[in-house]
Amino acid sequence: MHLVTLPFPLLLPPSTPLSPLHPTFYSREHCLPKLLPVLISTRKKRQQQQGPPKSHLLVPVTPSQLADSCWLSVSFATFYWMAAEPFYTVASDSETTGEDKSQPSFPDVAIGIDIGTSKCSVAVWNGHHVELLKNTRNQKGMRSYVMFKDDTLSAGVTGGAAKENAHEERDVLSGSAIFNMKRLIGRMDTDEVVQASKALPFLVQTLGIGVRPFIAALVNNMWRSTTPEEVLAIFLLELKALAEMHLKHPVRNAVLTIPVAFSRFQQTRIERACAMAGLHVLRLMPEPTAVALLYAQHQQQLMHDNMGSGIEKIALIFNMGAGYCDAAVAATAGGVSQIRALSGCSVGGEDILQNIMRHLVPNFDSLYAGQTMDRIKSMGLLRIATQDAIHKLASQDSVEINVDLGDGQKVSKVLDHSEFEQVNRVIFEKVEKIINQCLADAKLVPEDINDVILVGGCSRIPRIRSLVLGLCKTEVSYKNIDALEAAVSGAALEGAIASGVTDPEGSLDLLTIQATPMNLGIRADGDNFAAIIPRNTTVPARREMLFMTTHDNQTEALISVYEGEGERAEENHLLGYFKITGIPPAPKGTVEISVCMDIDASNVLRVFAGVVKPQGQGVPPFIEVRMPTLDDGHGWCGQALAKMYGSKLDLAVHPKKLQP
Amino acid sequence: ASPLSSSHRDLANALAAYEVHAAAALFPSRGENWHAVLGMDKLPASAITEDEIKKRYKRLCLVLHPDKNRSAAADGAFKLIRQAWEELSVPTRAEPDFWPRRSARAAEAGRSSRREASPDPGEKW
Repeated sequence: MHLVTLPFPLLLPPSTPLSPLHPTFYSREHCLPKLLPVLISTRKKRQQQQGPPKSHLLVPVTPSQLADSCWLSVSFATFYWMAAEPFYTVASDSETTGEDKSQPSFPDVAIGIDIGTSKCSVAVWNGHHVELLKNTRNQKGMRSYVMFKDDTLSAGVTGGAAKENAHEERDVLSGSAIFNMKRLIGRMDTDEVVQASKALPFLVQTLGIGVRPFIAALVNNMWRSTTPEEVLAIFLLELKALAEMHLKHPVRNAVLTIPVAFSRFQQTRIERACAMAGLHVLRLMPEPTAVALLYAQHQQQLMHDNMGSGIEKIALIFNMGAGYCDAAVAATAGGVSQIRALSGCSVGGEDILQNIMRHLVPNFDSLYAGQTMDRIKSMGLLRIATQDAIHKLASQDSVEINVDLGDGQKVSKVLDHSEFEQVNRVIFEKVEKIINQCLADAKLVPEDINDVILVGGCSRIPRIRSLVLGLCKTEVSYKNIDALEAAVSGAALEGAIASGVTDPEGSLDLLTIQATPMNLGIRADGDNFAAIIPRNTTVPARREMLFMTTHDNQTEALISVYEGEGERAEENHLLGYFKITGIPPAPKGTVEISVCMDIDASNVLRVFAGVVKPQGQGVPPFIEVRMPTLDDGHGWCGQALAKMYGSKLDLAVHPKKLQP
Repeated sequence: ASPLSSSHRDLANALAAYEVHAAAALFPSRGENWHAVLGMDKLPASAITEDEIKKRYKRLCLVLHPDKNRSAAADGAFKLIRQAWEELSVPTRAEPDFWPRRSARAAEAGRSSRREASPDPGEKW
């Protein structure tokens, strides 16, 4: 009998602390044995500094059980030794004591990570400026994928040594690699983005009942299941190791950029993946707000150099990558960048790519209906050719596509701009919509915009550029920002700022004041949605609203918390629910219930609710709930609650709304 | 010297946050004085200009935002100065009424009362 922590793929209910799905479970050594030498040396140093290791979850496991796991080939002795210390902080730990903050002897500065749908990058604040890290192949932007092989995993960070790019891409599309996890994470199998992901070379199986999709990679001609969180965690682990090798000390905290369109539920999935990789998420920043921070730094530098007046400048930031598209309006003055409006949707280069593929091969769906080896290979060839064509179209008027897909299928076509734009019309319409919404929410007209900043891979597409610039009535975009490096640089800046680093030269006297991208509220007045914190409210925020009972002698009330833009509650994401019990019996409408929502600087949402009238000893204490509380299958809960309780526990918005 | 100076800064930041709380704590007895929250109550009336309010607010943002200020009081203090800003600043721009989406939403807000439920924070920046 050996004492080891449980190996990766064992499945237990998520609620047990020993389950791999439980946030306290993971330590980074579980996944990637090949990183051990680096990590061991740093661990030794830390142990000397910190004295005896803290306790950790230990489970007796027999050697045969361990051998069953194909993930690991580490000796038991190493394992036991590694298991002695918890390697990361659970989100809530940081709130309990200040002990952790005062201890580290290395500067505990959060690193910035941009996990793109297609490419990832990592950046650090090196004391003077932001530095993007390069992998062993000298790349700053690393392809986001994880390759599953017999007994090894390799993520795009290190890739397959010095392979040629085209070769690598073919490997990625062989079915053995999982990518686009940012599009899949935290989504239900009824989601249209998940449905669209079925056109990817690996297995995305859906049942259409509102649970997480089943995804699997091809290993030795067998589909081996995994989850988007797991894939992302493996990838983050390599990014973390890259940063640790560069910084020569352990990395614990990170600032990650996320799309504006990410729901809070998806955010918890990102946090979970980080926890699996041993990273504590200091901030999740919407991508355009990270760019806004970088812009604020530029403006401040300009002011220092020219002794400028420092008047407020309004920037519209548009970011479109492979998976998502976001816009933000930021007002910047004196290093403070206030986010005035955010909008975003899950439309990106992947959709453009799929549209073109379907255009080139009209019988795409029937041709690739089942994933046989031949079809996967043929689809990979089509993907590479299409992607190449789209890239070429950015700089030339038309492009010739000639590709032999095998099995008698050939594509031979000349694609020009007008055809490209026609095929992707819906995507450009969506882009237009989010820009217009962003301007309207910020209460600005195009003439108010001083600078238009275009970032993300898709900002290279001429039509996207002309569309965004046209909507903002400008000729040129802001020049001093690199389209692919801006978001990660902003995240690293935020990492330094939020870690409390100050710079004597004042280049960190910056701040982004964030805003909420979506309405937050509860179900009230039947099936309506009452927004308590409307979208684009400055964070940290605290808002309160009054509700009243809808039945005589109603003693219980259900608070269902939703996030989204829909008028009706069910059109939004359900984040969680709880009951207020023990309400003193009274005629309907006379009992006043206050629901207060609070978002702190780390974007944690707490909901407080309780009876405020009548007052006295007879009323129950307030309830505080940290959201979201729901896990998988959250799509069902709203319906289940409606079926079980109907309108029995309903509340209505009180005419007073706000407490006097 | 560097740990010393950093703890000095933390102390100054914490003090700034508590000053804001102290100013707001006087509201029940002396009436709502949002200028006091921004530390402008001692200024002569002529010095209270919109520019000055903006300048003070921005400077306080840099000191009080929880990203910048580790004290436990920072979160509440930031919310207070935010509220002060919303109370004191006048909208600088007339609302563009030719904006189609905007006017549609305004009309809708008239119909369904809950749109007006909370003051729109973006309005006055």
